[in-house]
Amino acid sequence: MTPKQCMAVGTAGYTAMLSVLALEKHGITPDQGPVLVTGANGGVGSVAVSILSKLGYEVIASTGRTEHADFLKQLGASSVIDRAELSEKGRPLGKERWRAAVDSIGSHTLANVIAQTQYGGAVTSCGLAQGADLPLTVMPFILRGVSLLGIDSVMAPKAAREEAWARLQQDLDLEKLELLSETVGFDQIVEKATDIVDGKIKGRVIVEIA
Amino acid sequence: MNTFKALQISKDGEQQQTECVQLSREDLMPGDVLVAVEYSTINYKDGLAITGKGPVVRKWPMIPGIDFAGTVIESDHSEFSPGDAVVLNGWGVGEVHYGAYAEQARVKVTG
Repeated sequence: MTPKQCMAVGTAGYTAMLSVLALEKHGITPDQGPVLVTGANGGVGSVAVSILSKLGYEVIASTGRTEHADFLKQLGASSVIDRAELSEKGRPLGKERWRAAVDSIGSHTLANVIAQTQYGGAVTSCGLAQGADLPLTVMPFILRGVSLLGIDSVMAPKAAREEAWARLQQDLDLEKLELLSETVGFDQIVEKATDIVDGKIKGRVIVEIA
Repeated sequence: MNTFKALQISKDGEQQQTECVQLSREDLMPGDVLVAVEYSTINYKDGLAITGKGPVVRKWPMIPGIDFAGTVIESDHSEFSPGDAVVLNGWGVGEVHYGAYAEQARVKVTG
């Protein structure tokens, strides 16, 4: 990858890869059932959709911006759902809809994602776009054996980083990376930083510094 | 390059300000490797840092930016030499150590 492509991946993309690796290590395979990606139009989400689809998983993409459904399908999503289905306080256990999930949203969304995960499945937690709280019960864990896998990218050890970047080279389609990223100048950093917090950015933002 | 541009955020009471400043190498924090930054990126976390909507920055003032790609200018560490292409993700850069939104960054080698 070029320096620019590495920044199209960035912490968000490398966090997506760490999440996929965590699911693999838990024994999740494409034949077991679909994988949900929340915040699918975001940085972690768009890269996760791309990687999972390339690896042969059936990907369900959840987003608040369903107008970008075509974009998500180009990245490899099989279906797109409205995040409103997941963002309100839900029941302790719901219908089993996916085998695994990559969640960058937290709060009620993550609680609902876990409550609708199939028996023996796993969910990674790697973000807090809705909130840092997690209002759930132990029911999905003790009745369905669901696992919640924590993902940290900031202090991840060197070996884990090397593994993630090697797998990104192998399992992230560079055409999709191009499709999901935009490049901005130094003087647009503050504007784009505001946009990303307001949920107005699709995919990844590269900054040309020099 | 004697001076270079950087985006700096500072805090005055509860108010957070962002400004473009000119820095020299002496202004950077101590570290082993000096890098000419070519590209960075804006993650959700960078958005939280710049807008002040999340407790990302823990040292003030700060140069935000948690990711960079660039070329080594100077190195005191055996693993890196001038001219090497490098990538950095995280490690507290842009949170407690001056980060990626500057034309030059000096960082510590870990691990």
